[in-house]
Amino acid sequence: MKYFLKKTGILVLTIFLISLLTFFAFHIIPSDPARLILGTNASEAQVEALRVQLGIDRPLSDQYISWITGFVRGDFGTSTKYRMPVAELLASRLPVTLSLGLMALVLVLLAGIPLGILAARRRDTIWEQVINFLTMLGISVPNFFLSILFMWVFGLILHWFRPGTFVSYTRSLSGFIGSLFFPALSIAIPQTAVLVKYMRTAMLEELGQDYVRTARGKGASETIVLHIHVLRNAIVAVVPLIGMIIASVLSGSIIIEQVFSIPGIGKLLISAVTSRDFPLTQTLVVYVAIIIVLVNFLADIAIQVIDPRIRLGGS
Amino acid sequence: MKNGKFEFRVGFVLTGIILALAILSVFYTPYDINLMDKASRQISPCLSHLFGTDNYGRDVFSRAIVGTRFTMLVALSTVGSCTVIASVLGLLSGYAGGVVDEIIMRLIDAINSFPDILIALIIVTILDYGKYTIILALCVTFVPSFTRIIRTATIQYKNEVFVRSLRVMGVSDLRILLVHIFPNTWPRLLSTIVIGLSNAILAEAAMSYLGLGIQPPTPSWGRMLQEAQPIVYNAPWVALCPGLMIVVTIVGLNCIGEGLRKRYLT
Repeated sequence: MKYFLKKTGILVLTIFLISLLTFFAFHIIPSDPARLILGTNASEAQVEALRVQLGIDRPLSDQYISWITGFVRGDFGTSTKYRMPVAELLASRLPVTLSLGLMALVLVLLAGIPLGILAARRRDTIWEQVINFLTMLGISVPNFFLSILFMWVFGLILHWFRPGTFVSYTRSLSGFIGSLFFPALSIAIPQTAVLVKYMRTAMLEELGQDYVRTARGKGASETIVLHIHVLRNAIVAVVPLIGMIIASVLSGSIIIEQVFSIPGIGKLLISAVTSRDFPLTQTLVVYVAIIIVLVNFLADIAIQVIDPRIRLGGS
Repeated sequence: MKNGKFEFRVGFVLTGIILALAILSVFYTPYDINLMDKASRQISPCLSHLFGTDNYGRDVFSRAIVGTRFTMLVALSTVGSCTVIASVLGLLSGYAGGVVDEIIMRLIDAINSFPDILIALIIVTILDYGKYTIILALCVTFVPSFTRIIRTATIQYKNEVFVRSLRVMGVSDLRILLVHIFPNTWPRLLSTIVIGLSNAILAEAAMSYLGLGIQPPTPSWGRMLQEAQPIVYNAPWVALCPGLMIVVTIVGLNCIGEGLRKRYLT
């Protein structure tokens, strides 16, 4: 419980620091959004009026406080590019990015854990070399190059999907999942490689423990030793990595949404960056960062719940 | 295998090839990289154009090897400046301890709580695009992990017998840090640097792909991939050449990193 409170305290502090750093990062550089919106032809009076309307004539600390209180209440400000509330922009795109991330995560876990076990099981055989080689390759391929390859091979040559088309979940659920499959796969492959590598190392480390010798000594088969004894302990070692993988999956989706032109948070963020839409970028950055910090927080808590050694406060 | 010799060899051969091409491109490229020629658009790979030509008739191979140079430049200056900053922070934080350590580590934690790409995007939004911005952006994202590694090593050596006896002999703190502790952090730092290089190359390629990194007409691998995407059906080689060069470079660097890790850290 004490641990939980301490972690929550750190979580709140981290989120506060994230918002503070982001806000001031966007206000260090003297720039004039009002001038940016109206262009160079607008008169000084017009610009001044818009400044008051946008609230950028007030001191920085005031602006920060009103921004952060708005943020907490779900009022994320107004995008200068789209001229509409950021909250509305977010609402339509959040489900897309979350589904994409979830699909990628499921793929990573479905492929990564069995392959990690396989690599540990077939140690010192040709299989280990093959899996090592594939993980090395998987870690080395940039996810956006992978997506271009998928578009070329599966989209344009084999016609399994139509690149550049996106089916909304409101229209057809199966079409939605279909149009997210290859993007999710491109995000998942590099992360799977990372997971397999860690999983294998964790399994091999556990295999050297005393309890494995005991289990073998009482006649347990290799399958039982690996799946019942070793796997449970290896999973504990891998859970912190899951938090990291979720963060990477979300970062990955920022690029991949751009490649496949999927209307999610990532694509919105990139278009906000390229059009220098400060309010939108600022909010999206804080939003995504908070999601990722929360995920890591949950991963930390999950380890507590899973592993009695840590839960009961051993050494 | 066991002592990482095999990984070293593979790694050095692969990165060697890429580096050699990058150096070659300073003196010689088969074609002018910006020469546009309508007559030779989208030529498939042949002897005169090793990797064919792109949509504007520019030689893909020439552009890719020149792109290597810029990518390497960004990666090396990122990791170089990051190593310097992180060494100062890490040594200071680990050796001084107390309040200094606390301040530096909280700052590092705060930066670390952002995913790398978000920090890069913030910096790119508020500054102008270009290679100096991208170097700064990547440097900021890499400093936390580098600092942590040097700090951990410093703390470990701070209480070793040889450091304590040096202190008894009256050696100054600065000399202990720079001459006696810092060199001991190198084995760990070295593999971090190599992995950092491969991460920097991947990140630079991603930013350039998004159009936020190196600006045209300077070729870079990420940018070339972005330009190749719309014509991938008719001219896949335009995408394959820079893509494969990224993969070869990263595999090479990762092999060296893995070899270093096996050799020094186990």
